[in-house]
Amino acid sequence: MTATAPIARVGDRLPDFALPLLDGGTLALDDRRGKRLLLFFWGSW
Amino acid sequence: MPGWQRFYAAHHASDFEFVAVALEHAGAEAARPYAARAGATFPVVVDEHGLTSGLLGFKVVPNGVLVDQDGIIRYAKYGGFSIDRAEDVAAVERFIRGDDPGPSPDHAPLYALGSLEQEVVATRLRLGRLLDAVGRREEALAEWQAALRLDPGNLVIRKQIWAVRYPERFYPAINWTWQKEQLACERAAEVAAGICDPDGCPLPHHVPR
Repeated sequence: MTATAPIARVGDRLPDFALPLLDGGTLALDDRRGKRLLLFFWGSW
Repeated sequence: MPGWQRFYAAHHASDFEFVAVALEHAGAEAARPYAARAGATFPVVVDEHGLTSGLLGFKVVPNGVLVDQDGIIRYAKYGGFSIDRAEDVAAVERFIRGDDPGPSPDHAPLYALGSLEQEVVATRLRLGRLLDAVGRREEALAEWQAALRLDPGNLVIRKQIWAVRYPERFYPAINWTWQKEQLACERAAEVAAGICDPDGCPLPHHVPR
């Protein structure tokens, strides 16, 4: 086993990430800083 | 999702944002009808390669994660996070008001992947997506299956494979009884093959060298 991949937990800073928007373009988490954010993770399956 | 759309419409304040992250290893298209049906006016992003599941260490959905103005995670619930659960909605409402959302449910992952394994899983997911996009579905499934072998407790990957291989069990409606039986059957085969232990933790000799 290599070193364990770091996982962000409650109390940690969520690392910035950017993902494609369903309607085109990209959403960067960085653009949402300064706001209270609810991230809702789901799947169609 | 329709429920979250109503919640968003009622609570959308200048300093509150809702972002839906769809885990769709077989591509964004599967998410589109759900977002459309919900009339989603909030942003919906698609995570095709398990970037967020790797960052946060979750292996199931649906999940809710609350992040404050400084980017600090204040609350996380992995699995079963729902607009239909009063305690989940209450945590979000406290957070929106500026209060402490309260304690997060216990989240003790069965195991943590190594950095290399995590990278290999992400790469296999990406490769599978590329192959699937050009119609090489069996090769795509083989890549996703290889990712699952490294991360056998990952229900996001496992269910994605099922949805591609057995779409009739998922669309238009999810057959939960079938999933339970299928999971038990696959787990038993994986334990017998020495891929994971009965708890679903990967056995070390399956780590790539």
